[in-house]
Amino acid sequence: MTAKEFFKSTAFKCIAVLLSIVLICGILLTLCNALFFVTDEERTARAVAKVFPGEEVTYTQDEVAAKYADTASYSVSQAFTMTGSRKGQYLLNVTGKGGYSSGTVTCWILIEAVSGDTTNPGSFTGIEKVVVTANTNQSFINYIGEDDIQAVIDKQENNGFTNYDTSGIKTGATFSLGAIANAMNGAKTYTESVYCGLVQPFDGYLYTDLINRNATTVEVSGTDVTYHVTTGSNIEPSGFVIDITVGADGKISSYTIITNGSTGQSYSDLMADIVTLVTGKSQEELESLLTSNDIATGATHSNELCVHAALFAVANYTTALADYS
Amino acid sequence: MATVIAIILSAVLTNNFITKQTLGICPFLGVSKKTSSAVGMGVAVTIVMTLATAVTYPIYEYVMVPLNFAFLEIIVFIFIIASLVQMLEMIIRKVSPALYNAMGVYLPLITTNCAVLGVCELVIGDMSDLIGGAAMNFGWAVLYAFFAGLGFTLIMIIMSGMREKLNNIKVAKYLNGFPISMVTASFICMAFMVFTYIA
Amino acid sequence: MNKYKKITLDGIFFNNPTFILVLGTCPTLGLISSALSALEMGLAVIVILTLSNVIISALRNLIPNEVRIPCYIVVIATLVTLIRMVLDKFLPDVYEALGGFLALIVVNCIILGRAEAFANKHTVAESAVDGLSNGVGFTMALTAMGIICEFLGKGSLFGFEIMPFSIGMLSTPAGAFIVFGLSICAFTAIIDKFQRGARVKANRLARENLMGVNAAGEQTVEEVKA
Repeated sequence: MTAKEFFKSTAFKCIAVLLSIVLICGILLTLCNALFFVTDEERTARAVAKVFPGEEVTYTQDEVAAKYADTASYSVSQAFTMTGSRKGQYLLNVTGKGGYSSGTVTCWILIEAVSGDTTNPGSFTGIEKVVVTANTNQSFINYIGEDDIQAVIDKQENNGFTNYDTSGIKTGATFSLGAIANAMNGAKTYTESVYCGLVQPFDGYLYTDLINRNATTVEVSGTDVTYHVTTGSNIEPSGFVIDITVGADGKISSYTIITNGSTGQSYSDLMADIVTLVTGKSQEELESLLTSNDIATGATHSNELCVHAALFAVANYTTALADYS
Repeated sequence: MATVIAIILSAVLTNNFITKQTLGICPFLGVSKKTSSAVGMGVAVTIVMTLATAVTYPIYEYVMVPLNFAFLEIIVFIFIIASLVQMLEMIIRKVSPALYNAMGVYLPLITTNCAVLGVCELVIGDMSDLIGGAAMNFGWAVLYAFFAGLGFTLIMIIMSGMREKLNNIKVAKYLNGFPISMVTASFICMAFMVFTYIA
Repeated sequence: MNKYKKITLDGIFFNNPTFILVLGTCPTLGLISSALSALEMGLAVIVILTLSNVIISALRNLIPNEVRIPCYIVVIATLVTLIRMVLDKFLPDVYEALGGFLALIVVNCIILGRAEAFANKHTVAESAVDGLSNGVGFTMALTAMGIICEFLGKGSLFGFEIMPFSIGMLSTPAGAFIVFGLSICAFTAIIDKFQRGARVKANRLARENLMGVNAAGEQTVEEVKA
């Protein structure tokens, strides 16, 4: 077949037509894409607009401060400073961890706070609004109503939000609400650290995620460091108060549970013999204890809190010795 | 391991393509009159879904997104699927005529099957809910596609069994054909709703 | 003008793509749990179907027969991508509600089916009317079923709550299958009745005409005889 014949054949016509249609469509779509492309800022603006239905809001988007953005109990993915009529408020997109079957709940949290810096610190006023946008594995999250979230907002214990109390909030989705409470506490910590200029107690310490940093104190006598630890919440149990002493060898020399924060007698009965398990242990031993079966006794969350408290004490021995003597 | 189990349960039972996501209904209603043809169609769809995902996922993730032409996904995907089906047909005809007789007739129908394009679109989107919160990667995508295909085959076989029984029954004139098949399908969906609660 | 009337009636009633031809079942079953998303899907299909019919009919003499299917698919995929972009930009809520089914319009048998069965043999104007009427037929079917499913399954209509109680099963795929199946049954029964009525009427007219002609004929014969 000569070149001339080829150009007159059906095969050539087929290829030419198909190619030109593909080309025209491709060019058309590229142009339209340039015209209609939805930028990330626009998507963010849409998401923010959904938090404030029927209201025009202005804001500036802030860089998320990496130091406070990701911990074991929460992570902050976006942060905004509201301006105009909502001046003095901050909007955070926070994912609370530790929900039902290790899932998470993502929500927008609107916070009111007085801004400040390290020399002239501001303060955290409260949470205005929580809008849940997404979750993973939270099969029962529909049980949580706005009034339940409001109840968590209104209830502050030991300087933090908690989803559990014996008289109060019963939703049928305790774990999911726990993740929301984690997100709220995370939002509070983040706002205080970044916007209010409050230096959190134990800033830069290890294993602080499950520790209530505001209610915990440290004393040093000689080479012994004694911690009076109040824990945060680990889904259900919260507010353990534990006295821990770490000796010069960096191991736990005494460990006393003063208040048991388990959600009821049945759970505190199920707990492992924590005192025996942790006494005389070093940081590595405690870390392996955290993943071992020894603490899977039916009150695992309580046990985890206690081991975390011990880890907090051991891991920060040198820092605390320097800071508090 | 947990992710593997989550993917298998989700793809086959809880988020089954037919009973939950209503994808691939045309072959489900069209080719489920006999069990033998239902199996042939199911196997063909499973193979094409797995291969299509194995080809489109890396192309989208490692070529189209970095080069900024992700917006052409539909055209690219449908072309890949069409040529894949075409190629598969040629290969099967060459290698095993027996297999071609059993399965080949269903292959041309698959190009316009929403289940195939559906799974390709699904795995590039956000589907952490469907696979137990794990981040998507190539391995999970292909595994999901494979088991989604098996789930599809499972429903096809159940449906064909029920329709073979239906052939022996006298059905009211206007209910005959599609309406009675859909009512049957509805009962399968209801049965599969039970699995919603295992995940 | 009669030709266009026939195309329109065929698209909406006698060859309704959803109830009579049972095409495009996936988005139908997936979206009729909410009347609003069913209507939105229908509108998107009207736009794409009309445009694709017009374009394909305009190009029908240019496209060689051998590569017509790939050409149609490219045209349809382009239109779907365009609609997706426009919706994402200007109507993000609709974009979200339709979800994955928007991209799957590309493999919706109605669109390729109309291109193959109608647009490549008819003029641009006829194809446009055909696309529009088929789209309207699809939309009406989807919205009607959407209203039934949403009313019974969620106790609401287009998102506004009406009934305090509902049968939750009807807003799941299981309910969609049952409503779809029974709707096909009802629609075919009505159309059948209507067509039979029309046929009976036509037969009677024809017979009367014939008898009239005969009577007149006989008369003339008799007159001639007389």
